Amino acid sequence: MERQQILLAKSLEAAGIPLSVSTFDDRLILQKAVYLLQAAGIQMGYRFRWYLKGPYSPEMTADAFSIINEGESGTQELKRWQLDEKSKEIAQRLQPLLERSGESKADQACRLELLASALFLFKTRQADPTNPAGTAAILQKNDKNYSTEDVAQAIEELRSYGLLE
Amino acid sequence: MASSSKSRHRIVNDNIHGDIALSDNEWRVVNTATFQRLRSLKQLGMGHLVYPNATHTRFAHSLGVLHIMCRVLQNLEHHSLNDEQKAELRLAALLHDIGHYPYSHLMERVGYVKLTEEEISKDSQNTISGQGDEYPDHEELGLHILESQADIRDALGGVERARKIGALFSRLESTNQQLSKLIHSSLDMDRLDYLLRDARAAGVPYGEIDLNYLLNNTRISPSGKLGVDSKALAAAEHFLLARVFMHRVVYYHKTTYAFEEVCRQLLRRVRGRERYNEFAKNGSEIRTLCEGSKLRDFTDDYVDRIIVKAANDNNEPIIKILATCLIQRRPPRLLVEISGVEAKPSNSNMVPLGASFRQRCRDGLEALAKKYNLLPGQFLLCGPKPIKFEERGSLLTRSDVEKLKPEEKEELIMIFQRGEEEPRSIVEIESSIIRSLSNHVFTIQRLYLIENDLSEENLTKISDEVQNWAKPPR
Repeated sequence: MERQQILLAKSLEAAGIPLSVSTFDDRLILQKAVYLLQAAGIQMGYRFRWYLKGPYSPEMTADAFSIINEGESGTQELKRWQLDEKSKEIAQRLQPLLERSGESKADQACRLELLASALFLFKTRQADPTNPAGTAAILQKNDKNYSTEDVAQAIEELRSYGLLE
Repeated sequence: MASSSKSRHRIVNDNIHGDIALSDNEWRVVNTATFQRLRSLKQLGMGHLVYPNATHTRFAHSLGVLHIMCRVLQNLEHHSLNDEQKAELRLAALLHDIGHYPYSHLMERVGYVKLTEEEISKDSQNTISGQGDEYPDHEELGLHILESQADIRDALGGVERARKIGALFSRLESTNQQLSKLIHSSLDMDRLDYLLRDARAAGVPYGEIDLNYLLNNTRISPSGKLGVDSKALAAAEHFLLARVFMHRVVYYHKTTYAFEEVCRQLLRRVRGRERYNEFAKNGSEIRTLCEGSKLRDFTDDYVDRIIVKAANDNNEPIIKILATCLIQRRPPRLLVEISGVEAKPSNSNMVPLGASFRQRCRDGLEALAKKYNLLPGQFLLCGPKPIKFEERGSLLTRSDVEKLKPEEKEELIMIFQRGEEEPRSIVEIESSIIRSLSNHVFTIQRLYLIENDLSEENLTKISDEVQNWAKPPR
């Protein structure tokens, strides 16, 4: 297994996100969780581009499938590795943002899509975090049905987790 | 390059596409020092060490991609693209590799290279760090170069337009995804050019795709999806298979791949050492390098200078061994290769090809190295990324592919069937060969040895021993 794949698997493990690609929601959760973990400071080296559902990395999806396809030998190799303390700390700090108890997968996917998409737009200077209404309008143009209130709440959460100044 | 004073277009003669026409603005961009750097980046990494004529450059490839974009845009005349959008797409095609690293993709991912010692370590708690400041990928670096290098930024008409064009090839724009998709679909201009160009330069027939027929049958759907008419299905399949054959024969050639792995291991080892402080330690140093005049020196020579220095490094034996192997063109000996076409494992009990060999290497290589007085780093246990028959399909079963959401199908080649306005992915077409191959990958695992001064007798003994490891476990 490549170092980047090991880093991906160990970061997700530390953040409590299952490495599952069975359904579209699973894959979407995975994508957005990795985007947010990278933005929080775990450098996994995946490049995210803008797709219909916001930031997306085809390379990351390919690596997730590869890790799963390694089966038992991959599981054994992963046991030989541990994530560095700082990254572990970041992943654990972000865990409550990535996953909430009682939340359905569909709701989790929808919430993470908003957080990751808004952050991507801010980081690429396509939207302004002081303007939730403008950000919501850009998201709506991209077929994302989020209200200004949804966006304002997302900005608040991104700030409280240190993802946005 | 020839130029015509009567025409607004400048003509460049290319050995693959013939005449390539450049607008005045493109001509100004090409003539910047920042773009001219691409002349000093070989397209095929270390491919020339096996195919002597494979010395073609990112410069020629970039012009070729511009030409293909121009052909595609001619087919999309009816589509509502204005002149500025067309100009931006052409520039994005021309500039898609402006941030490329020396020696193709060799240097870009050096931070993720696994050293042999790490691969065979018996330590049960190795640490992997997510705190490294790794090199940015070449698209991100390209965007950074367009923003920070004054010559090219000015030729593009200022920072805003430079950003817009950079955002097109790096696919950051949320506002005009349809334009970005033209560059990034599975049938992308980049691949259409490099398969042909690399095959001609290497002198092999495997990349000879039917470019004209593919381009003449490419169109865009009312919803903006790029696809190929079903009458060109065979040409599309040929394109995908050509990619697989080119990987098997050229890109993953046993000797080229060995030299590239030696270089990757060498760069990973020297990075961050004081003696090699001219070699960028991390992503921040790469970004800084690409902002100033030193960018002109960020060419294949940048890596060559490190190799020469490393060949005279008497402090670290493995560094000297790796560098000498490259300088003297002494290819590592291929001891074992396990390769084959593999279906996606259908259950967790299925062992991936080469997994048991890899495990036996992990268990035995350290002792083997000790027995013959070798350094563990002289063994290279490696395997390129699996080769896929179709970008996403190979990772999924056919029924998985049929369940994919539209955005996940963007990487697949789309085919317009008769009477249908919107195209379907190639793996959904019943009569497509790719449909049958789509959940398969071609995988390779290799073990090389940098022989150094090993006697022929000892070499045979080592070879016999590791070949036993490759036999299926009882």
